[in-house]
Amino acid sequence: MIIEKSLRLGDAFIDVSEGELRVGDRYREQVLSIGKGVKVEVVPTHPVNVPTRVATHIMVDVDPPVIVGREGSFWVLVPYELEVRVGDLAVAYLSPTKVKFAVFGEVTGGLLCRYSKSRAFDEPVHEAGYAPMLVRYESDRAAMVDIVVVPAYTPIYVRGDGEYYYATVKGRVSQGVIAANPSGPPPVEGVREVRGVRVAARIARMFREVFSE
Amino acid sequence: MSENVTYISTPFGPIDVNRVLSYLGIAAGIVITVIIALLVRFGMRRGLRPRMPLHVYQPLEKAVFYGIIVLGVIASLAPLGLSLTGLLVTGGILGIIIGFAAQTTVSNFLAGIFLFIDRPFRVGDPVSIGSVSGVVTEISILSTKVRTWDGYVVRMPNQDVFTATISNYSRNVARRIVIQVGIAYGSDIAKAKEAILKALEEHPYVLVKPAPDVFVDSFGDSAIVLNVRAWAPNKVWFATRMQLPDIIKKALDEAGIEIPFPQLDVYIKRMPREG
Repeated sequence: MIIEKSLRLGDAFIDVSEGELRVGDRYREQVLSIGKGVKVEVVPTHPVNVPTRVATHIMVDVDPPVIVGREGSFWVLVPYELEVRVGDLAVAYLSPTKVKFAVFGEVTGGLLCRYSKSRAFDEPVHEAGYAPMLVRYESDRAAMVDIVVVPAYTPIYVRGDGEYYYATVKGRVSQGVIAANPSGPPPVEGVREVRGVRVAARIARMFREVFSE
Repeated sequence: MSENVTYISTPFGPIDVNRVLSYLGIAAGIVITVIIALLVRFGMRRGLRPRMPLHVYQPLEKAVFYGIIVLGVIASLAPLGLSLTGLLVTGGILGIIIGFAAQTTVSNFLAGIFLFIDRPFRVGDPVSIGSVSGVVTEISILSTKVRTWDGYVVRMPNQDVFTATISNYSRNVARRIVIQVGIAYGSDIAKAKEAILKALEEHPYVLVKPAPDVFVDSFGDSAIVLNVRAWAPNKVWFATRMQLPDIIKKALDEAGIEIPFPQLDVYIKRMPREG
């Protein structure tokens, strides 16, 4: 999405005025000078950049816990961040929501996760700074699920100009936890994957490596 | 004796066939030795090199390669009357002498190999090795270099490193922060706890799980001492540790909780004058 003047989403703001780009969230504010005619774009990205990149996974605390059967699915809301970019250059990452982290497992050898709380929904819902994620599960028996853990770099899809979805994830229920990975087709029809600067750069690098001598 | 000697006549004169055969045997032995050494080196490069740091692999490769060459050449020279046993004994004695002379170096070298096998840390890990704390900048076969928190580079012999108590702070994804706060005896403890927990909840790096906790640690001379314990991601532990006291102080100020300074009440008792 090209920002002409300003954008506000949750705690995040982006103001573009003549020769100046002002961005910020509840953790920092930044003012940058920009050249004339430079287009500032913003895309949703994985919630692992603000305040600094420390987490590798996302933990969704399902509150209240959801009781699941042997097989099925439910939706949860997962936060995303905004990547402010000019061309291929990411100039800032902003979080529209409050950022917290949690350890999944033991502090030795566990996973450091971006933490978020969500209800379980039957249908996708949208909230500022959050995108719905379809969680498919399998279980040996009926169980109570209160934690969903997914990789931080789970793809994000967009429908239209601003309806964001996370990729469908799938996992088994074990001791109240679904440790899931992206799997299967996009959760809804008519979406396309959002590619952040880093993902695009990674793909470009991969192509260069494959086709160079 | 001369009966066993076979000569063949050539334009250059008679040649001892047995001697020629023994020379050929020596040459073949050396060639085979070199081929075996090259094959072993090839195998090591394929199998071992990708799995080992270069500084450990290179001396090991050289030791194995030249070891095979030396032993093979000595064994090949046996037809000339060169005794492998004698050389091995001489080599053994020489080895003992060199071993005594280079005891520390050898000890450091072996400790370096054991450190590689044990892998208690890697380059870039924040560690405490004995009394030295900092970030590991280099691990070589004889020594380990640590850049201390003050910025000095400390070179530690591997022997000392191997026998020292090592704390590696990067192996955990999170570390605990403990801060003690004194509040006035007249303060509402529950209110103080609530204010501190709320402040911690606002900080992004104070982990939700494991959850932070605040409890009365002791009753000091001038204050009720609260123990604040919170976990933070390992990478930002120090920054969080620096920020928390300010945040806690601000939260207590806003909640109207007094952090007392040491006080001493002096009671003066007037004694009746004698007489």
